[in-house]
Amino acid sequence: MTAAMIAAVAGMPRWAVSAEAGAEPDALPAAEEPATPVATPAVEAPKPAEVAKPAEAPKPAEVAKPAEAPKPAADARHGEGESKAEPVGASTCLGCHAAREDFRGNVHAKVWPKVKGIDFEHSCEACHGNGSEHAGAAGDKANPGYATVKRASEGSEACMTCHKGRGRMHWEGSVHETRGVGCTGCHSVHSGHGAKNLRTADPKDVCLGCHQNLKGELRRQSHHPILEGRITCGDCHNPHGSAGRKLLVGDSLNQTCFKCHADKRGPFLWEHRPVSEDCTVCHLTHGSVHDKLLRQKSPILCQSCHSGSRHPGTPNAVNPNTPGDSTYERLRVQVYYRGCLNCHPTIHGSNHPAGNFYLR
Amino acid sequence: MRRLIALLVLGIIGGTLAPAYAAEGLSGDVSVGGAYSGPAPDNAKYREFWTGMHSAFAVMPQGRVSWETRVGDTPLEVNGGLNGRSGLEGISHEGDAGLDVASLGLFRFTGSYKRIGHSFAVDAKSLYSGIGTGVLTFTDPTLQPTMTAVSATNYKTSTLQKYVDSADLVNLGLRRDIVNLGVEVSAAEPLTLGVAFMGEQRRGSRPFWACFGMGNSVEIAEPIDYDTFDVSTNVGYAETVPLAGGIPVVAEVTAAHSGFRNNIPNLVFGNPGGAVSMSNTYSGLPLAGSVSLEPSNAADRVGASVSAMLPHHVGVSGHASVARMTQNMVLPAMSINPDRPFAPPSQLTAGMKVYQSFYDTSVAYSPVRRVHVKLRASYRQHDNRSPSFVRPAPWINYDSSVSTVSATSHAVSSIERTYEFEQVFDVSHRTRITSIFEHERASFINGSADAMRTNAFKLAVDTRVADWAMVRASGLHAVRDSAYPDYRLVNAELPWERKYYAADRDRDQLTLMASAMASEDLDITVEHREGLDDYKHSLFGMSRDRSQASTVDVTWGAGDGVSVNTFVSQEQYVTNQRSRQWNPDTATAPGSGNPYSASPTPEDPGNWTIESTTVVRTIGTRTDLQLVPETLSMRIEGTASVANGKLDYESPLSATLPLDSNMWLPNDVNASDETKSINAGVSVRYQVTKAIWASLAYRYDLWQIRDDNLDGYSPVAVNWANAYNGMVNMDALWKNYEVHTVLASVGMSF
Repeated sequence: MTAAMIAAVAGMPRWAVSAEAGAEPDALPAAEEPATPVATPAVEAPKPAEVAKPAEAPKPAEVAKPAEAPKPAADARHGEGESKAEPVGASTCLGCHAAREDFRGNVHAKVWPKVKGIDFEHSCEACHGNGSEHAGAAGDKANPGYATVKRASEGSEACMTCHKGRGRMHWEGSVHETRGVGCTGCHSVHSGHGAKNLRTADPKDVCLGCHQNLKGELRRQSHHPILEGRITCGDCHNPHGSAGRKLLVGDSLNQTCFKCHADKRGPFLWEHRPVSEDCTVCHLTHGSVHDKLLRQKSPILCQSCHSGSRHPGTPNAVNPNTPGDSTYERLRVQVYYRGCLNCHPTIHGSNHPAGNFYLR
Repeated sequence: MRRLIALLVLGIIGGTLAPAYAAEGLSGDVSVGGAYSGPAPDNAKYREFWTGMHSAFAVMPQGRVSWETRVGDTPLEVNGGLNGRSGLEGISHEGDAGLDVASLGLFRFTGSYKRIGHSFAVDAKSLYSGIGTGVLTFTDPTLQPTMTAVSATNYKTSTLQKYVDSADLVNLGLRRDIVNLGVEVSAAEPLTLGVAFMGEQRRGSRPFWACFGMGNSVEIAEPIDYDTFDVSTNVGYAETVPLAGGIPVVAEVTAAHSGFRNNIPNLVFGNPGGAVSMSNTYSGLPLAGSVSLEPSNAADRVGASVSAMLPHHVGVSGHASVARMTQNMVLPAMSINPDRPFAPPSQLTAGMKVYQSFYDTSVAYSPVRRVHVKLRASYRQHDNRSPSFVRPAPWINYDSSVSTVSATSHAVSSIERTYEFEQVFDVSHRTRITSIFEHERASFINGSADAMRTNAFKLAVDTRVADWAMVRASGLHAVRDSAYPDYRLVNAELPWERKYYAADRDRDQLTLMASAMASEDLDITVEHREGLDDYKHSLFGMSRDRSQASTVDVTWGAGDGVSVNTFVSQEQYVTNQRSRQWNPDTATAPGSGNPYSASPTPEDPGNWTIESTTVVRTIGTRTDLQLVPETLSMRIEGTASVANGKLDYESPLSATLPLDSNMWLPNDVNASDETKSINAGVSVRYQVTKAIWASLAYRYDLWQIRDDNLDGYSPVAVNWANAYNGMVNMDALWKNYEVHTVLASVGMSF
């Protein structure tokens, strides 16, 4: 659980808690930056020439009309956050938020002039809303104008005004959205890592920050190679929402598994019912203490469904009175080595005319 | 060695030339490293994902280049990357390379190639040649005649053991070569277009069992020769349509095709037990057996999604997809032994067809501030339209004996309907309560149950108890009722046994999580989970499944460039099962199907229970230290995990049955196992100049397993009388390892 996640709960402002170690805080109001003098923006705002290198100054053709800046959707909800504030420009913002100067190197600042028609001077207010009242509050939280800018924790709707579609189709109502895990819970808009501006350099650390139980599961002896970097959480889950369950990228769990395990897709001549119904009947997905990500070791797993007549109904432990020099000599063949799979190797289904017991 | 030199030269050239281009928007880093590991890196578990060293020495080139430029007034980004690992043995190279060219807002092209692998066994004992092909024949041609001539089981053991002792040692593993290509075009927004291609080759082999009949099985190398390719395209639309003051609409249509081809769909293998007569009994063993492997198949899918934000804060979304999975392989011959008589089956090709459809719609509404509700309904159909495969008697099992029991396949189909109502209430700006009610109905044709109905209620409370701390509590109570068929009539299964995934079940889960910023530099998260699945009406089969898991995670910014992250977790899983040997109904003994009223008696030792317990403890830590700011840094990290398993059998003893009359009889006996894993390392990185760095690292890896059931294990399995029990394996189980590795690398950023 990161500070950003704590902040995300119930709309809690991100700046209300300390930034996580190594993460850049988002949208810190002036009062949260003690090193920065709090004064009227007009006095403290650096001159434009001090902020932008001349070579990076936007070309006239790239300068957007302020009216074209995307308006955060939150403005429209229940009259929440409606403001009569006027734009003040990035140079005013940087007067207090000097650390945000690095936003010039951000993908948004690079792309917006061409794609959205928003030059750097208007980039802050494109997401945070017009800032005159906030600037006028001069860091005074008690001033009603102070809270008129949008903060990171309210940022999901602002982000979604541009980042819609393409895997974010089902964001509205997704479990992350409804549980208050907004965009900034995982992404650092101003200074994230990699092409996706993630909060951590390693994408899986973003997920494991909240899904702490997986830290242990992924280190079990049998696991999907996520820690090894061979697959990522995003290969199976879409954190932005999906039509299926568990944020799975496929329409069903099996469809998701078949993305990599197409050899198990069949359909087989002789189906093993749980295989076609749900892979997780027998397998865990993240990690298991048993081989092949199995829920239990064979034959115990198999016997939880097959324990009627003949050998599936036989308990497979060693009787202390059984003769033999070692446990291995006293066990039945169904327990040796790989258990039931010793004789039933085509357990996912068989395409052999004589394969109805998954022996061939 | 030539490859090593080439890599070094490439790295040096790249590092030398790169700064010259830096002023033109080129940036990146290149590095090359080498490693030595010992004493025994040749271990399949250590190499499992090819992340471990593949030989005592390895070279690891890495590079990443970014180039930003403009074409006219259009920004263009080019990113390339290389991440390689080259073992000097020349067989174990892996890595990935990618190219990403984008002008955001116009297009993005991505291309990547990666090679990854999976090791299954090192130095496995193989009696066969032809590994990787569809025919496995004995390397030593004298094996089969010799074994056939041996009649005494004890002598069979010692004879086969000699062949195993001199067997070839082979490595089993597979290599995956994957190419991804993708183009996204957004120049015509609000319309976007995307096309993606994925092609993969899997080559190699893995341990696989083959069976010649009851108790006669041999572990062999299954050939992996797969080709998979996926093609998909999507068209998206995202725009605010001028209706009712503007309605944001997002829509997307996708189409995808996936093809899987197994170039070796069938496998023939010799019988190491030797062949005796070809009589119509289980003892009649063939000279060779055959098995079918995963069949080639194809899948197609078309889907459409749309979402819109309507007036009055109503968000609607819908998703529909239809898919088809087909498989029409030519079926293998009933037997490779031509002298066995059998009746022709109903079809010679599989002809499998499954149609799937999925429809999902949801409405999210915020009637008043702080209250959000969502209604969701989904319909999912799995329609297996495959013809029933009829295999009349007589037929040949195990390529040897002839059976007189006919069989017919039964395609499984299902329909699942889910309705969900979710309500989110922001009680205050600090507290949010979420409640969800879900009702699910499923019906099956030839499924494990005829129908299932589940009602689930979830409640979650998220509260920020202070500006620096939050607590999250969530619970679930779900009741599943199942219409379970009487399987003893069709499959001779134990009456009142329930397959747990289709049985009546009460499920309760509780999760508590607290996270606190104890100080500006100290972040603590504690989580505890409890779960209980009670299969209340399962007299046989799984009856209970309990779980507990606790995790503590601490992140501490200790100041002066020191940061520490540590986590500890303990998990416990306990399952209870009950079973018994049972005489099924027969035509001559109707009524014996009641396991309580017919022989054997309830006190029979075949009436048994098992409690399976697994406890997993894991600890991990990572400390980063800036010893000299911006010059010398150190990382110390390690994880340790211990898993303890215990199988506890119990069986009521019959007063009339002596303990040792049944060698498989358990009487409150246990079997335990333990798996231990430790990874630890320390690395130091020295920034020689602003652009050049060097690093030195040491890593320790240990993995150990102890399993009561593997006590005295050997490839040629024998029974208590030291007689051959008809099973021989490749000695391909995971083996313990302990490896020390030293790595050194140099790199340059530009």
